[in-house]
Amino acid sequence: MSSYRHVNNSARGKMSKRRMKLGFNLRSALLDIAFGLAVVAGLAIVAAPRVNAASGAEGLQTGTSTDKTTLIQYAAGTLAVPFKAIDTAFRQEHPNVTVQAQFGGSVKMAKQITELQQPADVLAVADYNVIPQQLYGHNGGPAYANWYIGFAANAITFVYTDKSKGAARINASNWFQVLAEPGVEIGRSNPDTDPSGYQTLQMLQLAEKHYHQPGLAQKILKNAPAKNIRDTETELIGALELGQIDYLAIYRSDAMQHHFKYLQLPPEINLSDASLANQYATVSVHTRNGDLQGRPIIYAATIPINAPHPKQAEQWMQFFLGARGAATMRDNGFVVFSQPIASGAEKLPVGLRQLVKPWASR
Amino acid sequence: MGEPITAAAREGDLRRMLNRSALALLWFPGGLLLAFILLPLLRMASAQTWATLRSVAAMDDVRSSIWLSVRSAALTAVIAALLGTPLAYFLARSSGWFSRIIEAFVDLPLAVPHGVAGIALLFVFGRRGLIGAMLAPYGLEFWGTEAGIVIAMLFVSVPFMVNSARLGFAAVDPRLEKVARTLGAPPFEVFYRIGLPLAWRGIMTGVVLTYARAISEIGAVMILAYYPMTAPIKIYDVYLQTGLRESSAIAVLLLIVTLSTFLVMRAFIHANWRPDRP
Amino acid sequence: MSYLAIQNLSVVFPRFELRSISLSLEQGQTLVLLGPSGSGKSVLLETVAGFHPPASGRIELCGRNISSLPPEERGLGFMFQDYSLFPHLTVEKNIAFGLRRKPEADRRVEQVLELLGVRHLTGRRPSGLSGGEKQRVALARALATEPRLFLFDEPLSALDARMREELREDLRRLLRSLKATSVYVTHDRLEARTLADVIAIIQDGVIRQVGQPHHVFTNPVDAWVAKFVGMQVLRPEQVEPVEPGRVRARVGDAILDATVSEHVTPETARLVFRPEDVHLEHLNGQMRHSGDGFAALVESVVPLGSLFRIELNAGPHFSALVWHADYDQLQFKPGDKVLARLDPADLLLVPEHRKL
Repeated sequence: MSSYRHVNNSARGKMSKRRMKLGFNLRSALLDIAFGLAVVAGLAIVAAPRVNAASGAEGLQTGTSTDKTTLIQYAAGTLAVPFKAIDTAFRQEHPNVTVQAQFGGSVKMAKQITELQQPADVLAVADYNVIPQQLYGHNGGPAYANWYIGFAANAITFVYTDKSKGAARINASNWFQVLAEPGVEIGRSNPDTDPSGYQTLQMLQLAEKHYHQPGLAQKILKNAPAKNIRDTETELIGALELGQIDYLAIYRSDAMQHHFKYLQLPPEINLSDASLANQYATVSVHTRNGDLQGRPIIYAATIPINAPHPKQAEQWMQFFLGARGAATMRDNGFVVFSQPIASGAEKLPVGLRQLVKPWASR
Repeated sequence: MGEPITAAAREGDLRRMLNRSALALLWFPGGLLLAFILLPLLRMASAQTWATLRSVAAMDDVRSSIWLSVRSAALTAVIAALLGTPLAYFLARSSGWFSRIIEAFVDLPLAVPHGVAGIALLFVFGRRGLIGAMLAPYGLEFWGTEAGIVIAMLFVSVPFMVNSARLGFAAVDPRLEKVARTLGAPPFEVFYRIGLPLAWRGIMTGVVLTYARAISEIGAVMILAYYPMTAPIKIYDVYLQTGLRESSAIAVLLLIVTLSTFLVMRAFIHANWRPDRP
Repeated sequence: MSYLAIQNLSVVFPRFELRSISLSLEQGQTLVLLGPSGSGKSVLLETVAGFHPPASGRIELCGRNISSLPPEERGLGFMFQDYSLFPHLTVEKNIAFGLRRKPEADRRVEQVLELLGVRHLTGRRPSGLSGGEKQRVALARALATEPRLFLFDEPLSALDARMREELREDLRRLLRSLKATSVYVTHDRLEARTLADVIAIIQDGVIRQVGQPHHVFTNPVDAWVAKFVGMQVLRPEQVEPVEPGRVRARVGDAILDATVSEHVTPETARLVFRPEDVHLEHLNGQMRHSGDGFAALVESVVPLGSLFRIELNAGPHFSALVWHADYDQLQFKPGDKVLARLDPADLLLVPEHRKL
C-alpha cells in the first residue's frame, strides 16, 4: 500500500509561520492595550479634580427657589413609608424641588455620607445616637454634621401573624413565656450594626427587671439565634410572612404600616417614653461597638455640613417638622413630639430654631 | 533594490499600511475594556497597605468567611456540574420548541433580582416551604445554614453551567456520536465515552463560571443565610461596623483568593485538554 | 432469501419523504445508491443504520428483521464522508472502540491492524493522519466489530481527484478481498461504475432504476436517468414505428433509427445515447441529409485527459466523446463541418419521465 502523504507540510515551516503571526498580533495587541490604558488613565487624571471641585463648588451654591433642584435624602428603612408620602406632599408645595430618597439601615445610610463621600441634604436615623457616633468626626476624622433634631419616638416590639406559633394565646402578660417556648423562631437585626438590634436586647433586659424574671432575656434569645439575624430588621419581613420566623423584633410603626399583629409592651420596657430615659439607662448591652446603654428610641434628622442644597433642605425640614409632616408621621404609627428637640441647637440653621426646643441633657 | 517606484506600487504600500493599522486598531476597544476591568480593581488593591491586609488576614472571622465562601462556591459548582451536564446534553442534542422553552427557563435566574430570588427560594426551602418542610425532619435545613448558602448560590449560577456545557456538547460533531452507535455503543455509553470527553472544556468552563458567580453572590444568599457569614456579607458587615478601609481590605483579600483559584482551575482545564489541538 | 432485503421502506420527514423503497442485496456484493444531492440516498443509508424510524416497511439482514432495532444492535459498520475518527482517542483506541471484552479485543485489533496495514499508526492521533490513512483506520474500526454489512456515506467526496482515484481503488480491492457486503452512497458516476455490483438510482426519495452497472448505464428507463448517468438527450420532432423494437425519428434535419424497448407516447419521447458512441467524420462539400446521422458544426473541443469532448451544433446541441487516438487522426477544430452518426442499437427511445 503506498503512502498518500503527497502534501508535505514541514513541521518547522508551520511553526515559523505561526510564530510570525503571533508576533505581529501580540505586539500590536500590547501596544493598543497600553494605548487604551493610557487614554483611560489620562481621562481619569483630567476628570478627577473637576469632580472634587464640583462637589465643593455645589456646596457654596445658593440656588434660588426658581432653580430646579434635587434634594438627596438618606433615611432609616422604617421611615420609608411616611417619608415617601411627605416627599410627595413637599413636591406639591415646592414644584422645583424633587426629593431623591434612599432607605436602608441607619448605620448604612450614615456611612453613605462618611465612607462613600456621597453628597446628602438630609439624613434621618432610627436612633439619634447614630448621628453623633458616625458623623461628628471622632478620632480626628472630619465632621459631617454638628447638630440633630429628634422628632419622633417609637416603640420596640414583636410582630407576628396568624400563622405564628402561639399566636392565638399570646397576650400582654404571657408573651415572654410564649416567646421562650421551644420551637418558636424569633427574628431580629444585628446588634453590632443596627439600632433595632441593640434596642431589642435592651428591651429584653428591661423586661427581665420589669417582670422580675431573671434569665428571661436568655431564654427568649435562645429562640433568636444567629440564623435568625439579618443586618436590618426590615429584611426579615418577608421571612415573617412566609412563616420562616414566628415573631420579629421591629418597631411598632412598622407593625402598623404593614398591618401586622404586635405586642403591646409596657412603656417601661419598650423604649418609647423619653421621660423614662433614666430607667432605660439602667441596662446596657455589649456589642462590637462597645457597651450601649439603654436609651429611648428617638428618631433624629440632620442637614449635613456640606449639604449641596442647604436652603431647600431647610425648607424640607420646616415642612417635615410642621403640621403636615407630623400628621403623616402620626398616621404611620410614630409618636411625634409636640415640639421636636434639638442637640447642638446653637448650630441649627436659623430658619429651624423656632421650631425646636433644646434637648434636655442627661 | 533598483526597481523604479511606481505610483501603483506606492498606492499598494499605502493600502497595505492602512490595512495593517486598521487591524491593529481593532485591539483598541479591547484595550479599553481591559482597562475598564483592571483599573478599578488595581486602584482598590493599590489603596491597601500591607499592614491593613495582614491585619484583616489575621482576623479569624474574616478567614473563616472567605473559607466558607470558597467551599460553598466549590460545592455549588460540583452540584451544578452533576445536575446541569445531563440537561445541557439533552438541550444540545434536541431541537424543537420544547427545548427552546427549557433553555429560556434555564436563563431565568439571570433576570431575577437577587433579593427576589432569595424570597422565592425561601418559599420552597423555608421552614414551611414545600421542600423545606419535607426535609426538616431529616435534619436538613436551609435557613441560616451552609445548605441555604449553596441553594442560593446554585440558583443564580446554574445558567452559566448549563449554557457553557450546552455549547460544549453542541460543538461535538453529531456524526461522531452516530458512528459510535453503529459500533455498538448504546446512547448512555455514547454520552460517556464520546460526548463527555469532547465537551470537557465547555463543561469545565461552566464549572469555573459557576464557581465565580457563586462566590460573589450576596443578595440571594443574605435572604437565606446571614450567619454563617460568607465573605461578601462579612465585607458588608465590617463596612457597617468600621468602614471602607477595613472592608475594602477584606475585599482585596477575597479577590486575591478568588483570582488564585481561577488561575489554578484554568491551568487545570488547559493542561487536561486532550483532544486534538485545532 | 437475500442477505439484505429492504421491503417497501418509507420514512417521513417534515420536508422530505422516502417512498416505498425496495432493494435486495446478496452476500459479498456492493450496492451503490447513486443520486443527486437531496435525493435521499444518505437518509436511506441512515435509516438502514437505524437513525430514522421508518413509517412503514421493513429491513431484513441475514433473515433477521432489524427494522425496530437501535443502531447499536444492528451489527453494522458505518463510514462517513470525513471518516469521523474520534479525535480524543489514539488510532488503537479508535479501532478498539466497538469491542467489549479485553483479551478478545487485543487479538481482534491486531488482526485488523495487520489486514489494513496500519499497525505503524497505533499510537497516533487522528488529526495527524493523511486522508488515506484515515480511511484505513476508519475501515479498521468498522471492521473490528465484524459487521455483517458495511454502510458508506460518500466516503470519497471531500477528496481531490487524485486521492479519490487511489482510495477508490484501495477500497474496491479491500471490499473484494474481505468479501464484504456493503451499501455505498455517492453522487459520482465513476465511483458507482467502479465499485458497484448493483446500482440503484435514487431521486426525490424514490428508486428510479435498479440493475447491474453496465445495464443501467446503457439502458436507462427514462431520460432523467439517462442524463444522470451521463448520456445525451435529444427531443425528436417526429417518431414513427418501423418494426417491433425499432422506430424512426426525426430531429431537426436528421432522420435517425433508434431502438425502443416498450411503448412510449410521442409527446414524452426522448432519444438518448452515450456520447462515446457517436461516430464522427469530416463532412466535405455540401451538407447532406443522411438517413442515420446529423450534419453538425464543431463548436468547441475540450480536452479531458485521454478523451476529447467535441461539442456539436446540429440545430440541437449535443456532445460526443472521442478517444485521443481518433482525435489525433481526425484533428477536429471549432468551425469544422462533421457528420455525426449513431448505431441504432446505441440510440434509445425512452420516455422523459417514467411513472412509478
